[in-house]
Order: sequence, then C-alpha cells, then structure tokens
Amino acid sequence: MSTSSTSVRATKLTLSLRKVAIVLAELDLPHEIEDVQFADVKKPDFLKINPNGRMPAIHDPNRDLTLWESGAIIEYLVEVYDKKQKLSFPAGSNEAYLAKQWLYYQVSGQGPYFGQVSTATTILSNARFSGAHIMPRLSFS
Amino acid sequence: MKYHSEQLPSAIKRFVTEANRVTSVLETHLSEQKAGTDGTWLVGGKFSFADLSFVPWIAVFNFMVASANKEDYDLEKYPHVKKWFDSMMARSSVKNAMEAAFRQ
Repeated sequence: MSTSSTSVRATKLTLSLRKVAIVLAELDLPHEIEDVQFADVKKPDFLKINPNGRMPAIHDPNRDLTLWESGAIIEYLVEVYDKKQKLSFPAGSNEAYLAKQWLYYQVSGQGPYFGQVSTATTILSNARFSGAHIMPRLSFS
Repeated sequence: MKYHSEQLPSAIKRFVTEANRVTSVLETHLSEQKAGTDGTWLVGGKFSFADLSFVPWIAVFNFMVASANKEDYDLEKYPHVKKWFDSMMARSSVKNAMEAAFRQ
C-alpha cells in the first residue's frame, strides 16, 4: 500500500508518543511528528484535535482519520497497516485478543501513574533526584 | 510549573510500589511462556505490539529510578523482564525512539 505521511502530534517527551513511534518505525510507515508543547494541549487548537487535551494524536491522510489515545492508535496502525502481521496476530484469533489484553493492561495499569515523562521526573525529582539527574543523557550500546 | 512543588511521599511510594507490582505480573507471565525462535514474548511466542507497549515505561524506571536508587526499582530482581526488555531495547526502532525521547 502506498501511504502518505501520517502526522503525529505530541510532545516529544511523552512516553505514549514513544510507543506510537516504535510501532510506526517497526511498520516502516512514513510519518511526521509535530512537537506540541504541554502548555498548548488545553488550548482550542489542540482541543479541536483531541477534546481530552492529551497527547499523542495522529492524523492519517490516507483515510482522513484523526485519532487520539495511544492504545487506540496502536490498534489502528496494526489493523490497517500490519497486513503481514509483523507485530500482530490474525484478526479473531485468541492471540489477537490476548495481545489487546496486554495493551489495555499497559495503558490502564501504567498510564495513570506514568502518563508523561515530565510528570514522572518532576515527581521523582521531588523524591530523590537533583536537577542534573532528571534527564540523564543515555548511551545505548 | 504546574505540578506540586511540595514533596508527596505517599504519592511517590505508591508510584514505586505500583511499578514493582506491574513488573512482577510481567515477570510471572514471562516465566511461564515457552520461548519462541527469537525470545520469550507475552503472546503466542512472537514479538508483538503488546510487548513493545511496555518498553518506554520500563526504560524510564530502569534508567532513572534504578540509577538513583536500586532499592526502589531494580530490573535484576526480574530476570525474565530484564532479558525481554534488553532484547527489545536492542531493536533499532526501539533504540531510536527512546534515544530521541531522552536526548531532549
């Protein structure tokens, strides 16, 4: 399937964006990430995209579809674009439902506690971190 | 800054407790799975979106909380999760996405 570039709106630091970014990369889907500031998510422009004022949100020009909620975005991307089932399972199979179960567990079990890196690091910084440790530069081998 | 400026020990404790509880659930499940050809995965012996959805969050705990205080969160206590997490971090898609997040 030839695809136009999907646009993703999010603050680059949100963990939910990372989940979506990994799926986009695994499926080799062309996309652009628009960096939205946290301060702007409750403003009218973003609320038009997501009335809940949270990130990320995507727009897929191939279907003129705007979606928010990272779990729903991931389900959409694999159902529509993962035809070879690189990351997913045949529709209707037991495995397909089990994969959704774990995705929902991730979203509901972790989301409320760890929605955004900045929230987390702010809380953690109150607990134990000095400023220098809030965003460590990581090296990946 | 819109977040609480005061320390909230009970909230932090709950946060850390919940992170460990969720990781324990993953550890137990992974320990019961048969290894697939390329590792042990949450569903069907195959890497899927279910596995990768957990990565960013574990990465934050592993790199930030554990590096500050191993008593709070230590992946070494969860050997199956650690192996699973490490194998996903080795994928270029994951590595690139997480590097981009932490670089800022």
